[in-house]
Amino acid sequence: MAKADQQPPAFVIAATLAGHLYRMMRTAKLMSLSASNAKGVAARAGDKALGFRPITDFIAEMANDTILYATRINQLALTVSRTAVADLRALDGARRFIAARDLLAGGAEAAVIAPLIDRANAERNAMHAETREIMTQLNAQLEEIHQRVRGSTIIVSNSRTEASRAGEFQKYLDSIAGSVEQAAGDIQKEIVACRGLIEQLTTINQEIETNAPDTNAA
Amino acid sequence: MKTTNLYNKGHRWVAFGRDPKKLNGIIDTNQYMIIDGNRALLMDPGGIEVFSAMLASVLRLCDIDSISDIFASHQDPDIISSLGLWDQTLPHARLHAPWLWEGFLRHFGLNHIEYAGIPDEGKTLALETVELQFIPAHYLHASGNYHVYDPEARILMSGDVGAALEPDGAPLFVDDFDEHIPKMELFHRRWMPSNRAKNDWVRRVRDLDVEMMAPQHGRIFRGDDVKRFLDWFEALEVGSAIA
Repeated sequence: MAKADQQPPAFVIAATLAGHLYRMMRTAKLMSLSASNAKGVAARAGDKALGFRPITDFIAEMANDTILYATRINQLALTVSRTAVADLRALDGARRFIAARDLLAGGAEAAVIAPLIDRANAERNAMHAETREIMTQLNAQLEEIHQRVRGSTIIVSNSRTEASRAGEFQKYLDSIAGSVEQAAGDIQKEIVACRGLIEQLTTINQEIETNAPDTNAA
Repeated sequence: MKTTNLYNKGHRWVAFGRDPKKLNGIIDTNQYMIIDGNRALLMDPGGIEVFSAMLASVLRLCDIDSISDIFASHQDPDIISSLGLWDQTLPHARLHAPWLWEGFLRHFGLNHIEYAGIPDEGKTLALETVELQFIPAHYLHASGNYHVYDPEARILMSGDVGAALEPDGAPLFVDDFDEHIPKMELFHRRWMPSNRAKNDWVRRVRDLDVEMMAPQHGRIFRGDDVKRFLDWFEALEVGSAIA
């Protein structure tokens, strides 16, 4: 049996992907909030947190970029899910058209059904091409997030260094660095999960394309 | 799927049903089609599971391009859950169905076919030579519900009114009305919710000249059995789920 029959359908995987991206966005929003808090603390700390201020800008930028890319990927994932449902319906249509043609047992009326099968298959091919294109975009956008979050280790390390110089504000800035570290770690986990799901989607799409129903069999 | 001619004088009425290959557990349904020259109307074309058999049966009788119109008496899955597949098959057709159900019926998938909502008071549809009437049958059983009356053929396609529940393979026509009553009684008592709606429908149908009454389940009534049905239905208390 094909692997595609053993795993959840593509639209379920794509919807799951959208769920991971939603969580990623939520985490990034928390990170953005941490950046705002950090700015506030740094302002109050004055010269004691001079080195912390540019770091807060980095954190905010990383959070905002993550939100931006996660939003885009979320839209793409939802498109994949919708397309996968439409593909399933078109596949169901093609199979039922084939069944109708077979009931007509090669009579003249059977020829009328051939264009319907062709149209359903053409629609499916267009959907597969669209999905392939979206997969490429999904991977590229996810990589963008990955690149940004990868820099978080350095930011957290710098934050801790700067916090140690902030006197009575150290504990606040340490706490903020801890929040950013936690959020970056959570986002990294979501990236790993998303990559796995994208890989599954790509495999399913390839299998669907190679296992199209035999439209010639009577 | 069995195909039975009901009328063939100028235009043609055909009934489809009693499919021996129908899956177990699915209620048997009657589908109907009127072929009038180069136009055809499919009535209550059925659920997804009968689609392939229906398409094959229909194509034996007319060109696919001639099926210009589809009618759905109401929104039930056994009536029209095949809509998404017909939408792929007949992208240029029009669906005549209760205006009330448009937002619901679109859930079956409607990307190409035009939804021509039937107003509460009903409407007519002119094919090539015959003008059909979509007769209101609200609350029988759906809140937006219509039947199709052909004044020339004197056939009333009566949706769920007149339906019977009986084993697969039953004859297509009622041959003994009294014997048929037990097969209809539970269905009408339970599925039909309103005595007022029922009596209003009976009154209006009595004014029509009906030679044949063709329900979506069970058997077709002919001649005097139509009047017998109206008398029986008028006397029946419906809405039985409320004690």
